[in-house]
Amino acid sequence: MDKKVGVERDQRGLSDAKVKLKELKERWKNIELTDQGKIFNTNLLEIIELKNSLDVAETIVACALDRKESRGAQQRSDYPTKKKDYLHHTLVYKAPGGLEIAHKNVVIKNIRP
Amino acid sequence: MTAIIFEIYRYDPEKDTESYYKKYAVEVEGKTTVIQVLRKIKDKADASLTFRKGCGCAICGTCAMRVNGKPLLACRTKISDLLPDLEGASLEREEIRIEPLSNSKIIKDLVIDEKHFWDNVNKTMPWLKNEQKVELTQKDVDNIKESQDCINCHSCSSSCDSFEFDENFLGPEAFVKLHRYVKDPRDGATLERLQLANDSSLWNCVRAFTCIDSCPKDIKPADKISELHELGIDYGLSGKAQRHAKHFVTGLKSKGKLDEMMMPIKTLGLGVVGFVPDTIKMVAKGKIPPLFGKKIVNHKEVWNLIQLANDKKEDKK
Repeated sequence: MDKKVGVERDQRGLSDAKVKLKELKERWKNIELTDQGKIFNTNLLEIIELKNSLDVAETIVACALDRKESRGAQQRSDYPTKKKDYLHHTLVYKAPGGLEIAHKNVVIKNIRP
Repeated sequence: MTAIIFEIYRYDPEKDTESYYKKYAVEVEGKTTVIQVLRKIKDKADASLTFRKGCGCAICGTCAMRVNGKPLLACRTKISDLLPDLEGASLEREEIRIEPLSNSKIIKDLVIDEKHFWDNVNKTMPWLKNEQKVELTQKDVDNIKESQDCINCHSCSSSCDSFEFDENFLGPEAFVKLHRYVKDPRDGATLERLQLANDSSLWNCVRAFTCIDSCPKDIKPADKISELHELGIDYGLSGKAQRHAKHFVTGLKSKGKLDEMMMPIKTLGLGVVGFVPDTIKMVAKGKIPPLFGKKIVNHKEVWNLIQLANDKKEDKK
């Protein structure tokens, strides 16, 4: 994630990350829980948090791919400028087929983009 | 990289009737930290090894544990701190022992139940009470700088003998928190706090200084406790302990030395009667100093030194 989904991103890196995350999520299904205890089980806690981290990483990559521009903390070398038609919030939903992306209008009050 | 043997305290409340030590050989460098060693063991050798880890940069106080008997922060302690001659170490010989903090109930492996430490801190009313609108000076900031640095890692109270033996003794961690508010001019409950400290066996500190040795933030809790002793006297609190301190000084003034015979009589008053059986035993063994002690030669010089030290302290205030 550090290397391919940092501030500086591109299509190639993001696609690689998407593939890798899919592979990691599959591998996660086979993690062995060594500590079967019910008291202060950090082994179990870390496995749960790993799954959560993978889910979050997946959404970050999906939204980064969707946004074909550079704005703020996303600087895409393949789309280096800010584009007017990308002035929107990116929403991501879990759906049966995978992730669904939607857009929402930005409400501008005092701070100009 | 050198392989070192780590001997780690293990205890699983669901499986074990008592604790035991398990050995792990781990490849380390001088810069490897104790928390990194635990991480390596949990990832590669034994996923059931349980420990607490927080910020990883010595500011949260979560990873305090005993290493070779001494409480310290695992995230900040490097192997080179423990084994300066790492190259000369061998698998057969070098062992680093890792245990949970003392004076605590163990939840699992290196994880302790912190409740009794936090309960004692909470007893000190750790918030501004009866707030005073005061402009702070640099001196005010300096006065509480150390006690404000406390990260509540529990290293001090966990290694304190008085804390272990006296349930009423709040412990260095709590007394440091109390000091932080007593010395803050914005707090308007100074006397109440000093009274609380007094009633919580403040004077049962035996000055072992294990708290000073173990504090990872160089706070010197025992010095803060001494300050609370003196402030209590300044604010008019009196009792056996304060009388003891006072008569230490009056003995020095009149005789130039500790007046061992008069001390218990002046400190305890009639209560000294309770010590008569022990005193008779001590007389029989020749361990009692002369009843009417003599002044030392030039005893006035001792008093001059004390006054000089007091003047210097007044200047500091």
